[in-house]
Parts: sequence; C-alpha cells; structure tokens
Amino acid sequence: MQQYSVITENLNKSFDVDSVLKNLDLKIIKGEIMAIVGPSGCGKTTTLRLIAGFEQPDKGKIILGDTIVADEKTFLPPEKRGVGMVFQDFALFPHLTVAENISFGIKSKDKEKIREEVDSLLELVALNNLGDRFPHELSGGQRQRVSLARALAPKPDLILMDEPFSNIDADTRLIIREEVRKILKKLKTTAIFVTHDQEEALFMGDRLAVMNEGELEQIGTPENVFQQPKSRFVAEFMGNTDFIPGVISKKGIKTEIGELEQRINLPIGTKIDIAVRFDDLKLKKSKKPNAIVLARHFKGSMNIYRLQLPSGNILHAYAKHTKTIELGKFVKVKLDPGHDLACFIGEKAL
Amino acid sequence: MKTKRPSLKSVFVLWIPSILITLGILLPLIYLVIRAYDANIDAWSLLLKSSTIKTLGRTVWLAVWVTLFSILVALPLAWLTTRSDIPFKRMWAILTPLPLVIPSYVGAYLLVSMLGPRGMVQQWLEGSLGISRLPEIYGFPGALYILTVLSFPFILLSIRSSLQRVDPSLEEASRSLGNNAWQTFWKVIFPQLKPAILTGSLLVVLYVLRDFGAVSIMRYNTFTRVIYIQYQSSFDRSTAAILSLVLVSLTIIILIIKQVSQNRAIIERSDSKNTRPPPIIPLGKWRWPALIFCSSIVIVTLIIPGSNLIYWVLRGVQAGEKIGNLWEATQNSILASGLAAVLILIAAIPIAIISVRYPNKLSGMIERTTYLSFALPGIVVALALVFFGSNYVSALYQSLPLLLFAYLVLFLPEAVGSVKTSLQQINPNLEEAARSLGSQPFRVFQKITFPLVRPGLVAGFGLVFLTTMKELSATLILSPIGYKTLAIGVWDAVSEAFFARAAAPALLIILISSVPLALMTFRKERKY
Repeated sequence: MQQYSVITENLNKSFDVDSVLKNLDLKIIKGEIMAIVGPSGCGKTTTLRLIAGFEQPDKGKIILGDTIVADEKTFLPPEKRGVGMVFQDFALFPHLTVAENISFGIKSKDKEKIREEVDSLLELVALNNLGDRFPHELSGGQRQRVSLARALAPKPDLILMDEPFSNIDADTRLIIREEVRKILKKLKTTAIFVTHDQEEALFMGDRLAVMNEGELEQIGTPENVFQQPKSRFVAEFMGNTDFIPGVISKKGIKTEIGELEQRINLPIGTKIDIAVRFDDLKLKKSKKPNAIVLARHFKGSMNIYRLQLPSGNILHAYAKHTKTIELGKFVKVKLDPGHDLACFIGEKAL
Repeated sequence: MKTKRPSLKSVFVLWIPSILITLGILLPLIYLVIRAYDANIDAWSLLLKSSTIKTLGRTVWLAVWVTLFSILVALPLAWLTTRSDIPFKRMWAILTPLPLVIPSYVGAYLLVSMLGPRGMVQQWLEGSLGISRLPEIYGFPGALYILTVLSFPFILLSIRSSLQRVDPSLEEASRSLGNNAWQTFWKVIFPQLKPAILTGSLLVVLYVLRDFGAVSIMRYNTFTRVIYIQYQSSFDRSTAAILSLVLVSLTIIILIIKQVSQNRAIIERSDSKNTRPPPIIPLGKWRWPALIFCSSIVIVTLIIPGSNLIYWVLRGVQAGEKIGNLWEATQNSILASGLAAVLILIAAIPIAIISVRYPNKLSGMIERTTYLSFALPGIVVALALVFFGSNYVSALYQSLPLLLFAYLVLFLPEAVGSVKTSLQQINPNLEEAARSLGSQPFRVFQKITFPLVRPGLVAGFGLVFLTTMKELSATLILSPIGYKTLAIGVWDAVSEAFFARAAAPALLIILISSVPLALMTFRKERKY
C-alpha cells in the first residue's frame, strides 16, 4: 500500500463570500515533491496555509501522516503539526543571526548539540561560516537557503514552500532551484511546492497538481500533465499551445494544415479541437503556401513565428535561429508532431 | 487574507482588557453628560447666555488667528528646510520644530516675565528711561503670540513630510511645460501640500482649544479658563459640566474633520511610486533674506525665551531660592510621569495588537474610541474625575491613582499609535514562521514580536513621559494635596508673579522632557 504523507479530503475554504477552495482531494506520497501550480487566485497558497495550520478549513479533513490535524472537531495549531514552511519573502527573523534563525525550531537544550546541528545544516545549504551574519547582510539566494535550513532544522515530516524562488534574481534562480531539489531529495523529505510558473513546476515536481479557481484540474507526473492535458485549461496553462479545429476522417483527423494520422474512437465527421504546441509544426517555403507570417520573436537560440491561417486561426511555430523569414511572407506550415496530439471537445480532453 | 477566529485565550488576554480600557476612557465623558442632564434649567439657559456665546467666539477667534499666523511662518520655513540650498539646512531643520518641547504655560510665563508689568524689559526701561508702562500684553495679543510660537511646528512638520514625498517628476513635467520655479510651486506643489496644511492646522486648532496654561497666564477667557474659574469660584458643577461639553463638542468636530481629511490625503498620495529625492532649488540672491528669516524664527522662538529663562534662574539663585523644594517636585514629576508612561503603554499593547492583527468592526471601534482622547482637554477630564471621585469613590479623590487614570485617558492614543506603527512594520509571516517551527503563541510574542516592537515601545514610553511631564491642568486639579510637581511649581510661582521662583522648575521640565526626545532622535538607526 502507498504511504501518504498528506491527505486532504473534501477541503473547502472561503474568505467572506469568495469560495477559494472547493472540495479539494489531494494525496501526497511520502518522500515526493508535489508542485502545485496555477494562476494567481487559484487557491494554491490557501491550500498550503490550511495544511500548515495558519487557516482553518470551513469543511473537510486534513491528515498528516496518520494524525487528523483538521476536521469538524479537530484543529491542531501550527506549532503542533511538525510542518516546515518556507515563505515567499523568506520571513527570516531580522533581530536574530543566521545561526539563531536556524536553531529557533530545534527543541534540544544541549548547546553543543544545537551548534553541531546548525553547522551541519549550514553545510547542507552551502552557507558555512555565515552563521554569525544577520539576514539583512545576505543576498536573496542566501536568505532563501537560510530559510530552507531553518524549516528543515526541526526535522519536519513535511516542508511547505510558497513561491520560494519568486524573490530571487532570474540568473541565480535556476541554480538555487536545482540546489533545493537536490537537498530535498537527499533528505528524502516530503515537500509541497507552490508556484505560478509552469516551467518551475515541471522542473521541481515529482508530480504536478494543476489548480484553477479553487479546484484540482489535473494531477500527475510532469510529462503526463504536459503531454496529456485533461482539459483545455491545463493545455493552455502549461504553455506554448494553440488550438485548431479538426474533423475525424477515415485516416485520422483532418485539419486545414494537413491530415493527422491519429486514431480516435469517434464517428467520422465529428468536430474536435487539437492542441498544437510550437514544436509540433514545421515551416517551409513553398509554392503552395497556407499561412502568412505575422510576427517573429527572436529568442537567440531559436525563432518563434506567429502565423495566420486563411481561416483566421493563429498558430505559433518554432524554427531554427538561422531561419529568418520576413514579416508578411507566405509560408507552408505542416503538422509534424511525431506523437499523438491532445484533442478536445469543448473544455474536456478526449 | 486572514480570517483567524479569535481564540478563547486571545479573548481574555486581548479583547476583554481592550474593551475595559475603552470603557474607562469613555467614563469622564459619560459622567459629564449625566451631570449636564441632571442640571436644572438655569444651567441649560446658561448655554444661550451672552457670556457663553462670547467665550465660544473668543475661543474660535483665537484658534483661527493662531492657525493663520502659524501657516504664514511654517510654509516658507518648511520649503526652505527641505527644498532649498539654504546654508546650515540641517541645523535649521532640527532647531525650528523645537518649540514643541516648551509647555504652553512656560512659554507664556517667559513672555510675561519679559514684557509684562513686572518683567525684565519693563524694569530695565524704568531704570534707564523712566518709562513706567509698556503696551498691555495680556489678553488676545499675548495669547495669539505665544500660542503661535509654540504650535506652528505642527504645521511645519506636516508640510515638511509632505514636501519630501512630492513626486519630483511632476515638477519636472511642469518645468518642461514652460513654468518657472515660482509658478511651479504655486501651480503644482502647493495644491499637493493642501492636505498637509489642513492636517497641521487642525492639530494647531486642537492645541489651542485644549490649551489651559497659556490662556490662563495671558488672562484670555477661552473655554478652558472660564471652566477653571467656574470650578474654583463657585463649585457650580453643572455649569462647568455644560461648558465642558460645549468645548468637547467643538474639539470632537475638529477631530472628525482631521480624520476625514487625513484619510483623503493618503488616497491622494498613494499612486506615486517614485522614490527619487526631490530636487534642491538654489536660492541665489534670496539666500540672505532666507537666512535672516530662519535666524529670526530661531531667535524669537528659542534663543530669547531660553536666555530669558536662564536670566531668571540666575536671579533666583542670587535671591536664594530654595533648591530643596525643587528636588521633591522633580521626584514627584518623574514618578508620576514614569508610572503613567508604564501604565499607559501596558494598556496600549492589547489595543494595538487587536487593531493590527485582528482588524474587524469591534477592533476598529475600540481604536477610534481611544483617539477620542485627542479631543479631551485636560481640564475637562480632570473636572469629570473630580466630580466622579468625590461623589462615588471618595477614597480615590485627589489620589495618585486617580491622577494616573486621568493621564491614561488623556495620553493613551499616543502610546497606541507608536506601538501600532511598530507592529505594522513586522511581517506577519515572521509570527507564522515561528509557529510552524513549533513555538506556542506566547513564546512567539516573547521571542519574535516583543524584541521587534521594543523600539516602538521605547519611543511610546518617551512620548508619553514627555507629554505627561508637561501636563498642567489635570495635574493641578487632581494631584493629591501637598503633592507638588514641577508643573505645579511653575504655575504657583507665576500666579503670584514670582518669576525667579518659576524659572528653575520650568528649566527642569524642559530639560527632563527633552531627554526622551533626544534619545529618540539620536537613537541608533535600526538596521532592519
């Protein structure tokens, strides 16, 4: 049987009249990193605050390990939950040194032991020798690591991270991200990680939970969520996606930019929408063009072209960084995914 | 975002004390209303008597003129000390608000001791030129002069902080559209200063309405003086109660206007995100007139009163004034102010916490009620408590606890304000972080919240200590028989025109009440 670190059942929360969470069911496996991702206001931070015990659910149950920490009758305060929290603004205690911050949550009275533990945590987050500094003397990335070390110090069963990288400069963010993931994996800590950045979620999460308007849209491995979005929202949110209409044909799916050989169990003639990602398309110069170039975004390592089809539909396609096509030129665009594409009727995936 | 339901513990530790303190503050006011209600018809007809109307007229008249003169002094001074290249700018900026530490009765005493009938100038002129009468300074001119000198810094400070926040790009835009510096000031800057001028002016008006010391020494019959005379001469409590209520209604109206105008000022300012410091404008040939202006303000408001005070202290020493009395009065003053500051700070903490951490209708109401104190003149609170004490709890009548309670009623909002400001600067995530690291709420307060608000508590203590030290009217009426403080020492001596005897306690009040101010000003800047 799977061992779960966190289970939420039918979790509901509203502020005044705004319903922020609706019937959230979430199961987090021991030792995994769960990335909760979604646009702002989707309820991801509220989920975290409910699990931490900073908010009380209106309805539903939260189980940490095998303890019920919140339901109709129970409400365990945050200090009794054994959950570590890393805040978006780090929330380091400004009047305490780095070492004092880290040791704040260590229960032991033995000074020598505390010092050893703080030292080993400093080493873990690669901040040796900075124990006597004050938080305002550190860079953003260093504060982030102190905040992680502080959350890890009481050896919590679960770490919660609320947009932990959004206050760090873009160039250090990638490095810190990798380090944090490595540390969490090394300690085999269960972690829930909240972000609005889908790329960050894909990198950090062993699994991803995509949320929208207080509800769980999809949960699964990064590859699964990216490649098989269950809804139009997920496909759009995970990025780089356009939709074009298609009709089921004998061979597969007919679209205005060619036929796709993909079997779908639907009667011939059924109208569907196909999610086309930027890399599923090929651009060619041709005497029989089917699209006009509206814009080019030169990204350095590649080009992204915005194309308009005769029907008026807009598509985006990657091209090599050496492939420069002028605006207003006609080109031939072809579907060339090499794998099945996600298809939708209405909002739901097939 | 937060909707923490108040826990049972917080109800006992925070909410119940806050509510009790608030009710305590309302007590004097409620009692006055009851007294006035009990009054016979005669007392009510007094409301419409010509003398009451005249008192009202005099009070308003004085407030209006003091405000106008204060604006005239404060506006150029504020601009010169923030936006010009006047030499010694920092020095002027520090010196010009200093008259605020001079209590009004000390200011008035210094004026009378210099220009009054038995004053320094009179004696000198009589000796050398044989002039035996100077123009009368008592009444309106003296009151106007001394209150302007002492209260213009309210407007000065308000305009200064507003001038420092004006978005410099607005000025640049105006200049690029063809306006010169003078036109830019009146078309672009001045309109933005209006809320600050209004806020500062209302503070000045409140100061004048609540003042007892200066108008009494200058013998100008505004409400506070008339109420005191009523109380002393006739013991006609209902009349004094009704006059007090009229005065309080007036101050409450002013207070409400101030709150409303302040809220609007915040909205007007909120869209500016520019943090560039505003540009400095060179004075050129106006440098000398500007310097003369600043120096004369400092000479008139600080140097002349200061040297006058020292002159009388020296004369007192020559005349053999007893120092022993002074020592006892100093101890009494420090004891009463110190106790009051501690008490008021303790009372302020729960109110500040609920208003910052549990914002809701009740906590808003509690906080607004504490601000009511700004509208209560000391004399009114003192009278209400005298009546209440002598009628219901005679054991407390003219006792130190009752005096401390009066101070609580009068000065609580200052303490709430400074505790609240420092609480607001603490990121609430810090408290949550500490909770998630396994600390109980009390330990969080002890280890995180308290160390971080400590500077605010120290500032609040200093502020309350300073104001209590200077307080005259409540101290005069409520202090236990034989309990002499420095303020009472000055008052008694001045009442009998013993100018030399008043000098030493006056100097001590200024010195002692400057200590916390200096500490606050020169305290090490907080690093975080």
